[in-house]
Amino acid sequence: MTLNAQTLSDSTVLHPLNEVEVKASRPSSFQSVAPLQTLQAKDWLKMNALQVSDALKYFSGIQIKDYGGIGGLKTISIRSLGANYSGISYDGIIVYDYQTGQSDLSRFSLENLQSLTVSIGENDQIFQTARHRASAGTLTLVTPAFSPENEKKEIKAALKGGSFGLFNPSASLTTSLNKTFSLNVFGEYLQSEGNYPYKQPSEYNPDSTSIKHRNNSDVTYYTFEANLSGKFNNEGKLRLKTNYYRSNRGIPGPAIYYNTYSGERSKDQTVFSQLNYTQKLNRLFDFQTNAKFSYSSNDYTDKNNKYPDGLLETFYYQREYYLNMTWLYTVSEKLSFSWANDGIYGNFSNSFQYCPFPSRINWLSALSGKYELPRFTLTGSLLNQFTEDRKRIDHSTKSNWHLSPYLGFSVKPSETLPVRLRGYYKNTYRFPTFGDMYLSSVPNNNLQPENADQYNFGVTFATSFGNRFSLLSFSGDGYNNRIKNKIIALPRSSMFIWSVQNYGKTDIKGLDLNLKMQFSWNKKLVCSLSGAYTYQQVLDKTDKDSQMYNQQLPYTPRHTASGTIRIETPWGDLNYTLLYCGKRYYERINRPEYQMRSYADQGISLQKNIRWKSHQWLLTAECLNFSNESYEVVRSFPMPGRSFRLGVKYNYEL
Amino acid sequence: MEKIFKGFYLLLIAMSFTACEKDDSTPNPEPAETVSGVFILNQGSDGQNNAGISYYDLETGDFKFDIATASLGDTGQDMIAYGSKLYVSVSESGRVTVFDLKSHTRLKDIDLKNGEQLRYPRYLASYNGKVYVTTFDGNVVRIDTTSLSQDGITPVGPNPEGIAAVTGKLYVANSGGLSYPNYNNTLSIVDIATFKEEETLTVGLNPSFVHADSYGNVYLTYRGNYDDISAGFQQIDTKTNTVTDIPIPANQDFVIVGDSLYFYGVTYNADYTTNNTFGIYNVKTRQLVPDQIITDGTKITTPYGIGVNEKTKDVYISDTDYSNPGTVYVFGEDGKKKNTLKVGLNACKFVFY
Repeated sequence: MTLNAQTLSDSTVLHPLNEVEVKASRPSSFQSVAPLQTLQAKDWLKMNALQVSDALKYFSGIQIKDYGGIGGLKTISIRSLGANYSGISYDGIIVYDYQTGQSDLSRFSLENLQSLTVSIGENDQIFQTARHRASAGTLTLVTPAFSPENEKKEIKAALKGGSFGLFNPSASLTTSLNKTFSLNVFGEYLQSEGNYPYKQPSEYNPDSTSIKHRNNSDVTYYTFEANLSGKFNNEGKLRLKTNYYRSNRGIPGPAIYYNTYSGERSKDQTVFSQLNYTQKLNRLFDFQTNAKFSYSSNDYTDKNNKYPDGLLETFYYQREYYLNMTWLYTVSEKLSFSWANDGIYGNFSNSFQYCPFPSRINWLSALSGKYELPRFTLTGSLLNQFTEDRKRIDHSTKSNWHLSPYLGFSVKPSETLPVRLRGYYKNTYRFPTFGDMYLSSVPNNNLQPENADQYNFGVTFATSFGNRFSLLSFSGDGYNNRIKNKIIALPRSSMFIWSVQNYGKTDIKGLDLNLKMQFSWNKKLVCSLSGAYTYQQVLDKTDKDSQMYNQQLPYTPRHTASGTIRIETPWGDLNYTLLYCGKRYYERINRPEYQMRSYADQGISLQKNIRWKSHQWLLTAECLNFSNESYEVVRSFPMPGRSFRLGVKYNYEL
Repeated sequence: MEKIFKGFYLLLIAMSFTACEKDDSTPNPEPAETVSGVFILNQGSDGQNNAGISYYDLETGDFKFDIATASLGDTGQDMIAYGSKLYVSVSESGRVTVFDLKSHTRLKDIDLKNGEQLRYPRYLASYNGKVYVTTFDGNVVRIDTTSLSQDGITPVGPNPEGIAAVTGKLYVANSGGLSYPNYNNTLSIVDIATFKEEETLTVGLNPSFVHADSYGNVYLTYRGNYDDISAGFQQIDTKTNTVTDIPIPANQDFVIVGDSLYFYGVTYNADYTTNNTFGIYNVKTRQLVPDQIITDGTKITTPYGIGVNEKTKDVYISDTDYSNPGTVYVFGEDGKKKNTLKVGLNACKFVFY
């Protein structure tokens, strides 16, 4: 590192500072008004990532709730706002879960993605659906682009295997059908025993540890996706996608003393079809429409004699119909406006005897504008949300009407210095999920939406010092989020009976830092470094008289950091990854006995690329958590220790 | 998940059958004379392996946060004294742990399992040299107090909770608590000699705590459905097996000492604020007693357990916020706060010894 610092100062003298465009990310994370972090497929190959959640852990300002193992539930929370504030966009359309508010991230296959982007606040891209504006931040998943133009056939296949019975093959085929249409199909299968060992303080002697194995933590899933891409003579572009996913997993539950039994399983099934059509109408207007239908079911079983027949089985179903139309009005190169309207109908049911059959109609309209000069960008939007909740059981309806503004800017104060300042304000309503309203032991139909205000100020810097020191980029953002009317579950006369209430207020102050560097000794020897750091103060502001007042919220570490180092050589590439998470508490009160200790999870991998004619192989050997650190992200849900993976990727173009 | 202090009245009941007493040790002849300390069961929180037992020595004022040297496990449910031993049911760890009352030595962990599955022991009662524990898989398990092992099991209704022993019978509340929204509303009567369920009585919906007085009456609170059917309190005359509603605001755990039944009730307002009521009901006169448990305006946020020192008539009330280590307030007979104890999370049961 000292060598690098030396290189930096030397180069600064020798080379003029140039503002570089990081071509990989469009829109640029350097020029964006709100923090934007992007990874391309080639980036997460360096990060020992098997799942989407593995890659996201390297972003700043992001918390991944991970219950451990490949099958464990994983959700993303942006800047401690909670999972319900984060939208997940899959090829341009938001994926929503009416029961929990956010889909499990493990549902999306990294093998089938080209890029992952987290935009905090709003994306500068205004030609998108209104629903993108309705979350406090968005995780955007993009599958590989393909079009009939290049008339190529491409075959990809990958196989991964590793510790705890991991077996994970996948394959995709892309081919053009004619001059207008091309087709892509993808399939993946994964199975894992997941019976990993973990260390726990010994039951009989808290000062020593004992090694146990996770039980009922297996998972199998398969997914298929077909994409049809069309490009018409009138410059219209079509993309039609159908995706099917099915999984069967054990839910190991918390690691409880003197008890290794767990009989819970979850079988999930999702199918959706979505369509995007984009058309340039004339010099001034562009139009796009998006439509989607999705259906998902969950079969939850708990084999346990405490239930009348020794088994609890509940089926959950949800359906969504979605239609969007967005117009883009490009006044000039500098000024553009968009007008997006989304209509959504979703319903939910389960096999309870008294299922209320709730449904929700959402009308979202967003008017957005963007004014862009080389050194100045201003974006703003106004989102109107109308929501009507219905219950079929008693024909009751409840409607809500909310207006949410957003305003952001980015400015480059100096012509010569590659430094930009940025800031934004955004308001977001988070609607109660059907799970919040109907699935707690004490149903609450009167829940109001939560409301959050975000303020962000930041600085970005990106430059190149020539061929040797080809990239130095930095971003730092300070922020303040305030949540009102927070929806939380409170125990009611017993810790097993919960009631969901609009109760909390939270104040979040944080700082996100990102640093990226790249050095090249010559074309064959390249070293890339990246680091991210997050500081967060997340305080409970609910009740001045309560002991929880001004306490750091559970599971919000004050410090988190991550780093990656990649060394590319002619003989192969070496990657090192680090995730650090500071101390945090698992209860709403910050007592030493409720503290969870900090941890560092380190991984290392070797990669070798082999090319022969049109064939390309990438061989990977990974050692995850090589220091065998035992830790928990969620208390009583231990994470795996040291493990290994081997993988091969094959690519053939013709 | 609340409290009990069955310890005393169970001891008293047990003593009226000392002829058949086959516990290895002599029961305390006069517990009211010998109260020297109080055991407080800290339930802990679900999935956190943090149940524990605090002990407060009333003579020396010494306080021990946890007497269990090895972890007690997950979710302490109930605790009673019987003979020379302390019995603790640890629900989510599937076991009953036995301590020596005097030395606090951990004598035995009795795992109650059905194959690889746990039985989830809930509430405890003692009778004639045996300890009975309801298990959430729909049974009552009999524990021999000499061998400290399971020596019988009999099926009752779904998710049994509270249990009381009166004149050769066990009264077991079948909550059906896991069958939302179809909770159960029966009380099983199990003959102790044959150890078989004899009949069931219809009681309030979702019955939870069951205790007996010394006149052959059993009392229970029921939880209702947390919606349109509210919680309440009932009396069962075990001679006639008639069930009577008693219109007092008891709906949680309660303790009977002599003729006094110490109770509390919690009701929720629309804005989630609570109304807590504390009171004493005389089981002989069948009247609410004008004496108040709290007279000095001490505010209890969420009462989670109640215990009464038989000797001094001091009332112990546990207050929880489900996050902080709990507080136990001690009120004298005059209803004025005498002491405040800092205990573990979700203190729910008291045993005076």
